[in-house]
Amino acid sequence: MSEILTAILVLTGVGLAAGLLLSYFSRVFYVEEDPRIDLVEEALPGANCGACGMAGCRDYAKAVATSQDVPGCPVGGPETAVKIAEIMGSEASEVEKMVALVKCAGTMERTTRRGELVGISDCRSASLIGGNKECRYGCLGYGDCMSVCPVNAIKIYSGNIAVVDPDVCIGCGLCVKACPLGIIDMVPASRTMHVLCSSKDAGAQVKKACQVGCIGCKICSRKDSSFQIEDNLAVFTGTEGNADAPFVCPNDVIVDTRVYSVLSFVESEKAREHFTNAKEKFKTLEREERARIAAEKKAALEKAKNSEKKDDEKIKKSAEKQSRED
Amino acid sequence: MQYLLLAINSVFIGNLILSKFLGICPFLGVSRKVSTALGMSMAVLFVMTMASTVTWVLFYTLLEPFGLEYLRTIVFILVIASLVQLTEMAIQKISPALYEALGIYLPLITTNCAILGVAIDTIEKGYNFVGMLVYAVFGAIGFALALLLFAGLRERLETSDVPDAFKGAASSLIVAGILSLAFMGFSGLVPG
Repeated sequence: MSEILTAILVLTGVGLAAGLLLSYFSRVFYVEEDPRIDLVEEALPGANCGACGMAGCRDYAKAVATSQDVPGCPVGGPETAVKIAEIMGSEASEVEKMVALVKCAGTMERTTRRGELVGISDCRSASLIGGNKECRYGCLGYGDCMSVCPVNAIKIYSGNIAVVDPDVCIGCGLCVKACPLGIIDMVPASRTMHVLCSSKDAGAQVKKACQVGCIGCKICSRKDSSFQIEDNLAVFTGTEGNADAPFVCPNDVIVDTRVYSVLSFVESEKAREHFTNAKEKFKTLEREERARIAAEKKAALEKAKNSEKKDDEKIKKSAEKQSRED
Repeated sequence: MQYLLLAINSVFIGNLILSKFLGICPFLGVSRKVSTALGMSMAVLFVMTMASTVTWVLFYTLLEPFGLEYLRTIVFILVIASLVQLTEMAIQKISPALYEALGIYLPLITTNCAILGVAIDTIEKGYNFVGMLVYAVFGAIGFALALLLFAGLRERLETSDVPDAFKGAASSLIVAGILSLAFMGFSGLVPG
């Protein structure tokens, strides 16, 4: 009994002594630091994600407080920038909040597969042997991005496609680095239209591999010049796109996040149905509009012809009149 | 003479990393550049000497009289952790330059098993105070030697043409193994 007691006492004693010593010396050896470092650190998201290039939020705060030229915190976005500017008493540099976007909507049903992969459990290995989809740019769905996400913003749903929840995403960019196919992009959070495809293959090849691939047809860029086509792939670069743009895409690759979330556009059959109906409606309207314009044109043309006839008669009459007077 | 042999023994024959396999984590973690390896080595030398001294004193003044030798490990861990904290604070106050130089390595070695390994080993082997000091200092020098050798090798590997499959960690581990083999060759250098 006494043995246990001495053991407990000694151990507690050593622990207590160490604790007291530490707390005492923390005051003795207190180093005065710029108080703004603590304030800035508090204003930061505190995820220590390293997206800014520093080792952690504390290092970033130190750099800010010593007024080094550092880029804005990409995770905190403009809100944090404003807060930091208040603390530092300077102008906030504009930082746009970025979120990750997986640019693929090729679920299992919509894509052609090369075969079954057995015994592989991560995207990196799968990508080494070319994946199981015909398309080299198709999301493999093993979730390498999901496992590196510090806030669990990425999930793999039934369609075996990784989808980022933009409301949860902090924009650290770790998933972009983790994806062996490079199909995850950082996009401004304010952007409302995305082309959900990364394939740079030629149109015919894309069509063979996937029902929802971008074939680089450039029709969308005619609706909205913010769509830029490079290497057979359209990328939306604006903020708010023309609401009709998704409807003109022949393969339904463009999502308008003002209407559908990326998740529902990729996964939900209902959303797809709704989209198809809307597209149908748009097409009929367009056809009617075109018919109307054509009809108007025809009418105008006839009218012009008629008036020409009248003019001719007038000229004839006046000519006759003159000849008679002569 | 006895201490000279002990010193040679702890640097070459019983090298902490290469023949006792303690402190493998910093060995692989901070050996990418010679400069960081040097910083880490200095921090280890500093902490190892201090930690061994304090734990040695504590063991013979507190644990042994009470017959609590079996509490060795847990007490040592406690003492080493708070000691490193304390040193960090003290250095920050007294010598900011040194604090900047040691930087992140100081808190990192709180959990370095080489520190605890040496502290326990000195007790196990029953060294006296001077023996303990020699063992700790030269153990740390052996650690530094291995770390610097490895960092130098890795710096060269970085620029050499290595087959894809062996790039990075793979070739590093192979090099570590060969280095360890080479150090095994020292055994028998000192009799006993």
